[in-house]
Amino acid sequence: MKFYLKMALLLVLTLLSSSCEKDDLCTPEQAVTPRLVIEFKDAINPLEEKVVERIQVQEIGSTDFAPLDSDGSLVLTNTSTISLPLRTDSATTSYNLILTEENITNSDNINFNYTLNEEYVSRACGFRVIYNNLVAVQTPESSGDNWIDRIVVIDSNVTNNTDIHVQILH
Amino acid sequence: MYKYFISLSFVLISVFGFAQGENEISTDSIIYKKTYGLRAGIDAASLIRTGIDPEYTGFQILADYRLTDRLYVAGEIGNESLDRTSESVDYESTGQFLKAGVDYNFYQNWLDMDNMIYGGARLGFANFSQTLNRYDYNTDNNYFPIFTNVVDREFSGLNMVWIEIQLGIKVEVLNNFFVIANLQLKHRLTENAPENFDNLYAPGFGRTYDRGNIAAGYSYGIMYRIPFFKK
Repeated sequence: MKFYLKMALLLVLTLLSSSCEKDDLCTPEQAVTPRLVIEFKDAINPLEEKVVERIQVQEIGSTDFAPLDSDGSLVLTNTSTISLPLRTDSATTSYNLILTEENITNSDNINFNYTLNEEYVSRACGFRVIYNNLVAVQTPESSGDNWIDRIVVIDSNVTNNTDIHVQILH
Repeated sequence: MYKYFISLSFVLISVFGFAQGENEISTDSIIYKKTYGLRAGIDAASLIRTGIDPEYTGFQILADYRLTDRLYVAGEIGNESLDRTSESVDYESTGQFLKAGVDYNFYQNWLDMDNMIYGGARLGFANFSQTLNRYDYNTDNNYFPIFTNVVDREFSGLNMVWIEIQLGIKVEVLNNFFVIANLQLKHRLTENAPENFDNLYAPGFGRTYDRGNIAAGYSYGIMYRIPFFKK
């Protein structure tokens, strides 16, 4: 009799263990689609970093401002770096970088072109995109009042959020 | 006073104990012969799950053959298919598996009973294919609309090899008719995983985990023994 009791207990245990199949969670430590990290430098002395007084970034055609850091800030003041998301469904992201200095707003347009590559992360996070062959092209303005002097691609492979990929000289 | 009484009672008990130990036990002259034969059956767990889980289809045959009083060669063969929809990845895994090894019976049967509480060891092989049906990109913002990729990307020729330990029972409920149940713990040895994807579910092995190469499973079912001879 005791034997059959043991058997019943074992059966119940197996049934219980089958029902608690917990799905893995996608944690922030896991690999994420990287952002484009931009550093602001001095146009006269490119070794010196030069902060921007107040910056906002907007994709062309969008009414929303893009997040500029991991906290999702839409405006940053006196900053020397920003990190922008890039489109995962298109090989180009076109951004207006809007600088406000001494209450004068100046918007410059840059096209970021790249090739998209997928990388498997995990069952909980799915895949991520990495960007290769990055090229930054500034749209010329006839008025000639660009605040951006030059764009330098430092790292054409955008694979993480820690490296600086692009320098903007102003 | 009580202290001495208790001490004395202990002495007396131990004396009685010795006295009992000296009783003669006459050896039993009746020998119960064990039935040897091939036992085969089906796994009800995968059949029931096929019925209640719309994402799962499976079928498994169980077999063992008695070598000695306590040792059996044992194995399972079957196929499984899992079509799983989850938050970031939808995938399908389908294929066959074979497990071979031994069962050792730890249970001391009374009289002519022939039940098992056993520990088993297996080497498992799975041959399968996976299809990636949908996936999302992992992003840290939602400035751009979340882009869901609906694809039909098949990865075939996948395989996995694992070792497995089982703990279970086989109980003779009618003559030559057994009910079995076991728990399985598996450890992956090698695998052939798809390029830029992973083996998320392997037939016979079960779901995998991102960290570690351990999996767990269970089985219950019925078996019938074809008796060959008695020894």
